[in-house]
Amino acid sequence: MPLANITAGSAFRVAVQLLAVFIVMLLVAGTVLVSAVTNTLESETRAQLEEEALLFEDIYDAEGAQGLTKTIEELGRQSVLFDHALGLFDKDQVHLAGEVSLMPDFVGWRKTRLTLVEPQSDKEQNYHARVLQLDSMTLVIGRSTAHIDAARTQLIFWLLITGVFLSLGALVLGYLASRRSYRKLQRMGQILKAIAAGDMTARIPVAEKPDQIDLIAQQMNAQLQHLATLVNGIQATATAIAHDLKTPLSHAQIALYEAGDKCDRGEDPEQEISQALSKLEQLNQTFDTILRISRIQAHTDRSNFAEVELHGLVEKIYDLLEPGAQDAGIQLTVLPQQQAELNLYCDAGMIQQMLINLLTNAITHCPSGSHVQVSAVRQGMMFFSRWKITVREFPRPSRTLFSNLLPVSASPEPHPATGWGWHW
Amino acid sequence: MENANRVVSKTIILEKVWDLNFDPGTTAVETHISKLRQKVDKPFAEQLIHTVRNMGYSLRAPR
Repeated sequence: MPLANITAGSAFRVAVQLLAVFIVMLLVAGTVLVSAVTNTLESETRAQLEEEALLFEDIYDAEGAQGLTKTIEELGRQSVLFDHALGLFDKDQVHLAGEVSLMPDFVGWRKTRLTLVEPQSDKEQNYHARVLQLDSMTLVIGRSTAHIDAARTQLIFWLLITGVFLSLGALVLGYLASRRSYRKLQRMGQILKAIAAGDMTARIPVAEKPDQIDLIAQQMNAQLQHLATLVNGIQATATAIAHDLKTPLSHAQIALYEAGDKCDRGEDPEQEISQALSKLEQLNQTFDTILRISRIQAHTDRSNFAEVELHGLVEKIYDLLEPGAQDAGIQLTVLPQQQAELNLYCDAGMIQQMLINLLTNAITHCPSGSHVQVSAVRQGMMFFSRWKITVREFPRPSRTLFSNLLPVSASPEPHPATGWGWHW
Repeated sequence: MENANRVVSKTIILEKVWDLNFDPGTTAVETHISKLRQKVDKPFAEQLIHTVRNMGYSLRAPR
């Protein structure tokens, strides 16, 4: 799997974008945090130095210059204040006591470098220095900034470590998510290729815990199923059309051949030509019916729609076909009406033709002596033709024949004579 | 008898009798005509119902 395809995936790109935002936020937050910690520590250090200065002033007031010098030297020997630097100078800037060998050129607070008598390392250290005047003497109290620098360094180090690990984690997660999406899309592409190659049974696999791609896959599967149904329907329709056209076409062809033969013999071919015309008219009607069905399916033509009372329709068709049934030895009767008016808004011609076909098939295929009873009933949202055939069971048309009768309006309870239609 | 001596096509019969505006593709009309003939013509020497080939039927009064 090419890496470029994965890193170009939306999941990875989103991860990178989020990472960029995270890094910027980390830099800003880190800067603020480091500044806050540094300021806090420096403030604390200055407060301590201020207290120490007051203490030395108290010693100077109580014990004089000698007492102060002695105290400073004592503290230097004990190394109690290891990160401190003290220095005492006279009015001529001569070093009197402490580690600081050179008197600073300021009075007050400053972050500066102090020159020590015995430096602990080659590196010059920064100090927070408090320089104050005690009469003619100058006292320097310094505290190394090493602990603050160390704290700041540690803080920055761990912030960087956290940032690096979080960045790597985000990149890895983004990469994995992108790879997962890419694999799904790749499978989807393979399935679509298979479908394009003619395999209408192929479906896109959907995970047990569907994500957004799986939801799209489900939608596509539903559409593919619909497409497969349509293709199968088209194939079945094409077969049915071919079946319906073959017989009249053959008859027309035979009639025209016979007409030609008659012409060759010098006889009148009118009868054969009339037969051929009749068959061609039949073909024309077949195409007309197909076009009407297509228009109804496409909801583009409802010009032939009208209210049809089904009980009356059944009676009329019964009246038309009963003599033929009688000749075939079939007893055709209409069951008593069990329901009041059954009005259907539909293509009257189509539904009449459908009932005629149903009954004609029953008359043609039931054995002599059968008893066919027919009636129209409504059950819920559907209309059915109810059949009761005795002597021998005839394949029931039942639901499938009328299952396409669906409400045209959205009303769940259509009132009589409206809201129903021949809806394929 | 309104259409005596006039040829009435199968399509017109279907439309006028059963209100069908199309040819249902059955032999129902022929069957009905046959039944009618049995009742109207068979008992008598003179036939009233005549078939006009490829056109329809006509009802002709005896001369």
